Order: sequence, then C-alpha cells, then structure tokens
Amino acid sequence: MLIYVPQNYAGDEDDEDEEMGDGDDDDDEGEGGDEYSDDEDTSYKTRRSATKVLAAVIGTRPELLSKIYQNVSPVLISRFGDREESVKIEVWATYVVLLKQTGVYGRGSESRDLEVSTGSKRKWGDESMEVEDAPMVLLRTQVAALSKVLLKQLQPKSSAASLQAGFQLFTELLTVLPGSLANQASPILAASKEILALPVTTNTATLHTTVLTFLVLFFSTHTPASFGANSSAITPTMLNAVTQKHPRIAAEAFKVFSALLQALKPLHADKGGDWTLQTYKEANNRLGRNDTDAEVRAAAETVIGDLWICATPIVSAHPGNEWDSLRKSGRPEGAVQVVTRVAAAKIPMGTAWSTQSIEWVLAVIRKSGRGGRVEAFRCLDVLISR
Amino acid sequence: MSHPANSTDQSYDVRLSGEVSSDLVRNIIQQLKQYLVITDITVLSEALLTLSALLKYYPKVSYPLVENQVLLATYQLACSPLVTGPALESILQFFGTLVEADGQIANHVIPGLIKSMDELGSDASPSNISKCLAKIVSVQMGIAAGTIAEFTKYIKVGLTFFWTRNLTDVLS
Repeated sequence: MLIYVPQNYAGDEDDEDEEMGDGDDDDDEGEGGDEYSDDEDTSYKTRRSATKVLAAVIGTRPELLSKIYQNVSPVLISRFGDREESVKIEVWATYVVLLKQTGVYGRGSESRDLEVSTGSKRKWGDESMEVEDAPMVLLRTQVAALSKVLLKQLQPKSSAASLQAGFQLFTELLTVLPGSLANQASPILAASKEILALPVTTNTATLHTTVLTFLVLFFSTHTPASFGANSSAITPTMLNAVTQKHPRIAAEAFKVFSALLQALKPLHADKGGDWTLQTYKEANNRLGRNDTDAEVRAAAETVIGDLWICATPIVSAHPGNEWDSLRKSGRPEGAVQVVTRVAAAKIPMGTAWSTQSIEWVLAVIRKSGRGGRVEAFRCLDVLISR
Repeated sequence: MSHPANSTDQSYDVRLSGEVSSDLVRNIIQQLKQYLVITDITVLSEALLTLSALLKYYPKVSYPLVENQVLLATYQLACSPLVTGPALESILQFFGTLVEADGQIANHVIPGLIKSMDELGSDASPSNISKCLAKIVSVQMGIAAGTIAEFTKYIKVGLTFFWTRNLTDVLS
C-alpha cells in the first residue's frame, strides 16, 4: 500500500514535484499542510496508515530486520520525498524506528561479520550469507541513497517540523552507524548552516537545538579529513548560536565546539585560531556572569576544559578569569571535572595553578556531600600526581 | 588571580612534577587525617589513596608526617573487619607505598600491625592483617626470610588460623 502512487502524487521526482508545487495547487498547500487541492484525494491517509503499520512491524519483529532492509527500507527511502508532509514525517519516523531496532538487534550480526573477516576459524558458507544479510551491513549499503534523498528535503523553506524530523533521522543514523555521513559532509554542513542562520523564534528554537545536537554527533564521529575546510564555513554561524539568549541553543552550541575541538586537536593560532578565541571569550563571559543558565554554565565549563586541552597555545596567550569563575561556581562538580581533565592531560599550567587548584579541591572535599567528595578526591590525586 | 600558563614560552617549560609545596603537602595530610575513620568507608578509601599518592610523589615531605600522624590510625583501620573490598585494597596500596618510600619502616610496621591486632583481640580481622603483612613483604622482599622465620615459630607452639593464613599469604 505504501508504494501505491496516486495520480497527483509527486513522489521523489523533483521536477514533477516542482512543477506541481508551482502550479495551481500552491495556494491550497500554503493554507493547510494536510489538505490537497483535490479534496477527493485521500490516498495520503492510506500511505500514512501503511507507514504506521510498518513502524509497528519493525518495532515488534526484530528477527525480520534483514528482510526489512532488503524489501521495506528501499521503499521507505523512495518515499522520503512524499509530497504530503505528514506522510513524509511519518516515513522518517518509521525509519528512525528501523534504525533504533538496528542499534539494538543489528550489532550481533556485525560482530559475527567482524569475526569472519578477521580470519577466524569459522567456515564460509551459510554463515557468510548470514553476514551479508546482516542489518548493519545492509544499512551501510543504503546510507548513500538515504542521505541523498533526505538532504534534498532539508531546505530552509521547509517547515520547522519537517526539518527537525529530518535531522533527528540523521542523528539516529549516526548513533547507529557512526561516521557514516563522511561522503555527504559538505552538503550536510551547508544545510545545517542555512538552518542555523534562520532567526531564533519560539517555533524554530527546538529545530536549532536538534541541528546543533546533530552537529555534536557529526563532529565527534567523523574524522577531520571528512569535513575538512567545511567546518570553518559553519563556525561563524555556531559562534552566533553560542551568544543566543535561548539557554538550550547556547549550551548545544558550546557542545558543538567541544566536539569540534576534540576532533581537530591540536589547534594553534594558524589553525582555527579565530573561532577558538571567540569561543574562549564567550565561555569566559558566560562563566563570569551570575545570571547564566545552569545548562549553559555546564557546557561552558566543559568547553573551557576542551580549549585548554586542545588549543593550549591559543588560550594561554589570552589570559582570562575562567579558573576564578570556575572555582567560585556554586556547583563545584562541573569545575572539579574540568580541573581533573586539564590536570590529567598534563597541560603545563604552572605551580600557581596547581597550588590554587589543590587548595580549592581541599575546600570542596570539606564542604561537599557524599556524592561530590569522591570526584574531588580523584581530582586531588590527579593534581598531586602531575 | 594569576593566570596559569601565560603567553610566554617560558610557561611551557614548567616542570610537571614537584608542583606541590611542602606546606601544601602538610595541609593535605592534616585534612586527610580526619577522614581516616570507619564511618564513611568510601571517603576512607579515597583518603588512603591520596596519602599513597603523596608518599609516591612527595616521599621526603610526606613520609615523616605520615609516620608521626597517620600510621597509628591506619594500624587500627587495618585490623577492622569492616574494612573490605576497595577500602582494603586502598589500605594495602597505602602500606605498599609506605614501605616503598622508606625500606626501613617495614621492620616497624609489621610489629605495629601485630600489636594492634593483639590489643583488639577477637574484634580484629586476622585476614586483613595477614594481607597487609603479605603486601609489605612483597614490596620489601629483603625482610621475607626473617618474617617467615618469625612466624614459623608459632607453628611449633600451636597453629592458629591467623598464622596459617599469614604464612600462606606471605609465602605466596
């Protein structure tokens, strides 16, 4: 039923879709997402319901995953560009269910795949067939088609709900198959940049956080070679996000920079010096203010640690008050983690920093409840053993 | 506040060890003393690990302080049957680092532990003490022969559980 194509269905044929979109149907489409100009055409309801049935089957029959990848997944991908938005979002949601099931049940087969490929004593034959049919292997073969079709749908003119669903699908894909979007890095980062450039409103705030959450995962699961120079194109947009008043957007933007710093380390003045310094200044600014949201503060603390570990020459050349701000924080747990990470990374911080940190950690141990004390002790041990 | 590593290249030459002053080591030990009690076993375990780190990285400063201010409390803790699992591992690590910091002290720690156990009588944990002795001997192998000879005497008098256990631990 899902592959039933009604007469006015545009599907993923772009040209057709555009023609129809530019035609007489335009006004009606603008008025209501669920309605077509032809009121008699209710085929989208059939497609949407069929998709829901498939989602139920995928979510309850993990033993059929391989067959689903062979027979259902290509059809779902072909419907990624469904003209009716509610159907499209339903198809993407169904694919998210498929990916989640693959994350839970598809890994066993992949490990068997690895065993076979590393030359274990397994016999080739039936088992090799099983490996070829493994859900994770099948997913990998479909990633290119999936991402290509999905990217076409992620245009800034699309609705916020649609864009959000698309990026959630990409996020789930990277959770299950890290680093799988390496070949699509350039268009994905371009689409992310365009969406993040949209003004932040009540409707788009969640979309911004979803895109930023995706970017965190993207930068932390891909090698610098795969996104290369594209990262510098998106950093101005992310620097803008860091300064946003919306706490979740600012916090997620800091997390993106943390992931980017970890991916690109070591950084120096000639490599990422501009955005690194601006992130450092904004993190310092956030930590120094009393009205900073707790989530933003936590993300800013983490990025300070990442900056010191990954871009030491840059941040050490521009002294800030971050350590003072961290030590004065009412929530010492985050600061303890940052000090522990920097101390464990053997960054040359000087005797004064060590002494002040140890004195501060001793005070934290004296004041902390049971939970925070253990972490503070670990921090003290790391500082002593530097 | 002074900023940690300033822009000058000199800051990169800062040695990574020896960054804790003697006064600070003294302050740390002073504060850690209060956690060497059985009331919070997790904090006790962490405090012992920190003392071990001080003995390992700053033996000259920390050793005399530990010997004078901490050692007696650790004898009593080692005897306690409540000290098990990670806390016992921490106390074993502490004694191991202590005798590594100063080889001579092993000859004093072993009688100290035995004396504490005798004072506590049936409330003491012979198992814990035997493990501590085994750890000390394994770090300072020079005293192994003397220790084994000393404890073998008791076999002739009458073999108790403690001495059997101790001999087994030491010999292993």
